[in-house]
Amino acid sequence: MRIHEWLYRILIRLYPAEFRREYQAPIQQAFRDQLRNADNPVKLATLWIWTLSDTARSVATEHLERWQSMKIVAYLLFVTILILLGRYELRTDDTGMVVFFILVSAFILTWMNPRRRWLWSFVGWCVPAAEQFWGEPLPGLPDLKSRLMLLAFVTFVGFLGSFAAALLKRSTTNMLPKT
Amino acid sequence: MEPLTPAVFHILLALADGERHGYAIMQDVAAASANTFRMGPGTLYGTLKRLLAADLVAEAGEREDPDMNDERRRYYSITPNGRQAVISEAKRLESLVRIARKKSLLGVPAR
Repeated sequence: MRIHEWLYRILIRLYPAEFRREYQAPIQQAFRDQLRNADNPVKLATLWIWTLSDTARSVATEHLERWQSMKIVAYLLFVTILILLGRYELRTDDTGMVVFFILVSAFILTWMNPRRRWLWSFVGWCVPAAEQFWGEPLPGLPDLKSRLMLLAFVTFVGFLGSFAAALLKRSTTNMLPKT
Repeated sequence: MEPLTPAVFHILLALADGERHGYAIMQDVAAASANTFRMGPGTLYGTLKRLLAADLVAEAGEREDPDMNDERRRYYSITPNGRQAVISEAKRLESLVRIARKKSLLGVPAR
């Protein structure tokens, strides 16, 4: 039995370190219990086939989850830097605020209704529309190409917001692995 | 509420009767599904981790299982949120079965 436990201990090293720190002991304990019940070669072979398949799936799930949470952190960092630097000009003095408004709106709308996340990425279109109504009629964008580029940009920002919300919602509310 | 995955539903069902340690949950799941759904330790503890984070399951301390060897084991219990989730899922499945019956998909002719 010791050789099986030793082999399984090696397999467990495939899990992310955080997961191992918390669950290595109980996982090994559960495997030992299974080994105790595998009292003939056929049962033992079945147990190993099952264990290899389970380990492959759960290792992939744990790494994917870790990767997704890292992606959200990277995204938030990216957005923060964008807003702080005010690198993108949206034809307004409050560039950072406008970008922030689009991101947050798309984020909240997607959070409330994830099924329409593609629609919410167009939320930024209300910025040029609002300016047409209440402000000057797009003085910095005289030609059609510039206006289309503006719409593409606000759609992209809206898409980032809705993408972040969908990702976050999936990893929190629907926190369940596909097993 | 979104549908629960089979792993989550089975774990919550196993805990609905009372506190269990990991191996007992695995045995319960295998028995309840007549061995059609089996969970290995990796899937079990990965799912438990997410259930703990979502407050559907809580840790219930470590102690020995009198029916097994004398190793100490980590026990888990279902929370009120977890009970609510498993009830909702059971009702959802029940309504689906009712529809399937009406369509004679389960061998019962439609009235």
